[in-house]
Amino acid sequence: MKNVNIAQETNVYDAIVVGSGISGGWAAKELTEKGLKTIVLERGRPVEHGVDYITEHKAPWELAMRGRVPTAVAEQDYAIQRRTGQFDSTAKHWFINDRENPYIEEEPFTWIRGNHVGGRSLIWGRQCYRWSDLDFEANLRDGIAVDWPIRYSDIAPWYDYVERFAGISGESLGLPHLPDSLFQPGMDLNVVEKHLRERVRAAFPERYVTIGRVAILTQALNGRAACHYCGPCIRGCSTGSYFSSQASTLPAAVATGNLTLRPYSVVHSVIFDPQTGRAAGVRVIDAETREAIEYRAKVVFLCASTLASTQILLNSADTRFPNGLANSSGVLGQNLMDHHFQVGASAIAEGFEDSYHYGNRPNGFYIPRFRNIDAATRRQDYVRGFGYQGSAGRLSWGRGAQRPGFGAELKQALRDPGPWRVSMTAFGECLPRTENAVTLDPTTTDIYGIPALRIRCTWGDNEKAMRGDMGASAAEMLDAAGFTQVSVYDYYVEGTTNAAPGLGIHEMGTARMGRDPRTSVLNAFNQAHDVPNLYITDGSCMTSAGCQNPSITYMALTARAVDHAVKELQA
Amino acid sequence: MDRREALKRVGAVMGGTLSLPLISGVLAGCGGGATGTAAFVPKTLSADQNELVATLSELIIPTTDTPGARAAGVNEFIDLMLTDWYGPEDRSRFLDGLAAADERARTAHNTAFVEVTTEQQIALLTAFEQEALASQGAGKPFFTLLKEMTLTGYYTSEIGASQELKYVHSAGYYNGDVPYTEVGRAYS
Repeated sequence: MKNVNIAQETNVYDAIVVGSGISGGWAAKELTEKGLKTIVLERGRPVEHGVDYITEHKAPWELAMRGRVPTAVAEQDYAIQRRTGQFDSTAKHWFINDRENPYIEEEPFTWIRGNHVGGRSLIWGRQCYRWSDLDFEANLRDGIAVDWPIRYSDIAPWYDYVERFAGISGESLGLPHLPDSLFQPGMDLNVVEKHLRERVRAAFPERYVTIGRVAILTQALNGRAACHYCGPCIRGCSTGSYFSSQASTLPAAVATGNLTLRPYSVVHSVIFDPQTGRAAGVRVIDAETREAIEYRAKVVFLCASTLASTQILLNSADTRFPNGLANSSGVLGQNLMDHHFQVGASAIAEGFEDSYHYGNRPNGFYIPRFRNIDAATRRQDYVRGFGYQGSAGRLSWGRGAQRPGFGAELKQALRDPGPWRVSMTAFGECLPRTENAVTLDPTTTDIYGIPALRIRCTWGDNEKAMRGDMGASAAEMLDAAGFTQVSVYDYYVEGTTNAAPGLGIHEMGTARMGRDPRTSVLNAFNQAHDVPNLYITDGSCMTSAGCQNPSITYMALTARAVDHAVKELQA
Repeated sequence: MDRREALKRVGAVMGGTLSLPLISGVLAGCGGGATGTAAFVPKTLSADQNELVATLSELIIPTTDTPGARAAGVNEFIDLMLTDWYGPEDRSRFLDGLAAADERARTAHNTAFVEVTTEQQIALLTAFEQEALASQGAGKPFFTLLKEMTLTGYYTSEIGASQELKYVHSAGYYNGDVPYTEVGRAYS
């Protein structure tokens, strides 16, 4: 008994953070900087910033099969992860092993996961777009789901706060529905993208082509260097030029002396104390030893990622909360969302053959939403809207496969770059629907014995109606620019994994924020209505999906929630 | 001496009965160059097939004022792709294509594909290309597999990426409107 007591004492902290990705890193930084002894529990392996970026700056000829993962390995261990175009041998070590960590797809749903310190902050797309009241008021306006409990004015100072630290480069446009961040200078549009920008503005005054707003530095910040334009950020960035937990928030948390970081710590469930009505801590399974360990703290932050945090709550059911912890509303697990994409258009831009680029810009252009932003842009066939991400670049040797012939003539032809090709894909908002839901599977478990998620998620009528416009509007802008060979594409094939939910890797919802404890899991401060010292600040909290890349909003919500939690503890 | 030439001569002296390990030994002993790095031992291709693949790849991307596919070790890349990337159907179709190349060379010229003149090789390969362009069957035809693997293997090799084309590792900055004459080559 004595040993048990000692063990419990050493496992007591002020705060527990589950997960070390974008949200967990921010929670760790904020909690430790406010003086709380904090343990971050990361299910995956440790990663040392820089040192463990094992493929960074490798030339293609230094990679076996030039970056391809052997098919047998991909099929056996990464059957889900390989569905994303990001999965190759330069980044394979940033993706979870699907065989060891299964889930059930009632409908095709691609769940892309990290399993290491830093999580998906190492592999994210880095695009950062603020939300506005067009988004926060959307559910109320449309009579869909529940109203967000916050408005732009609640989160705006927190956007400022996290952007100052994260470092966002981009161009200010002054659009009310896509507020500007605190920008470092934006990266350059190339010559063809600038041409597109001018022509689109002339033809469609409400549409803007701007450089992507990215968490990549164009000026040094806090010891992190400006981008050196090597290109493939996903391999890791030892200069810390893009924001990741590894480069930014975790080092800040370490510097306080208040951080304990424990990798290989798979959180099984949250411990609920019926006496106090509060979370007492969490149960962990050590991924290496399979030992069960308990950690206790005054406050618990779930930042494990959208579905993982909900899975933990579902697995924390007890007599008081038989349907999952903090689930008196019954909506936990429902309203899963993702952005629907992989629809757009491409074209060839003729007349720019004398121009080329220099440097590998890890960014492209962005076209902010221009549908359903006011009465003049109202659509009859769908609600909400979409933005575009795209880029222009000259084709290189890859076009040789389509070009007939072989020999010296082919080689000579491929020595020069091909024509400029422009391509864009839309990211569309997905509506929250109760039937898009996750539950625990009664029989399947992962290798730790934790029940697997059962995921059912499909695109609804509104998403499908939007897709036609997403392709057509892209094509009409490329036409307006005077480009040729304009061609619309849409990868979605209903019932298959093609452009199915999950692939956007913007999964959101399942533990939504709301004003009413009967219809939502979290309040306006990401605090569980039912369990006041339990906070969820990853994508689970989202009440609607917007069409903007969501991570900067998770950062702002996390910092804001920590501020609230610490004030509550001090009260 | 050119390793391929050396092999031919040795093979002729010994009546064409060189065992596979011996050929590998000879290949390894010539210090690299002719079919990529010296120590290369193919996993899927036989020594003869490996030499045929090196010959075919060099027809697709020949040596000009820069080295071609053979010097870039494209045969090694193709062997690896056949071993670890392609499934059994594509692999069989490719290996069948290699056999067909030899068979057609023997039918037309009474000797193996690697032995006929370059002009004859080009004519034979052109026929394969015409058949690939006309192909309606499932799966990529032999020529298409060969050409795709050769282009990928060559332009991602150090020779193809940095001698034939331009390889920029860490540019330091981005400029989206550079006169092409200042660059002069496609980026790899």
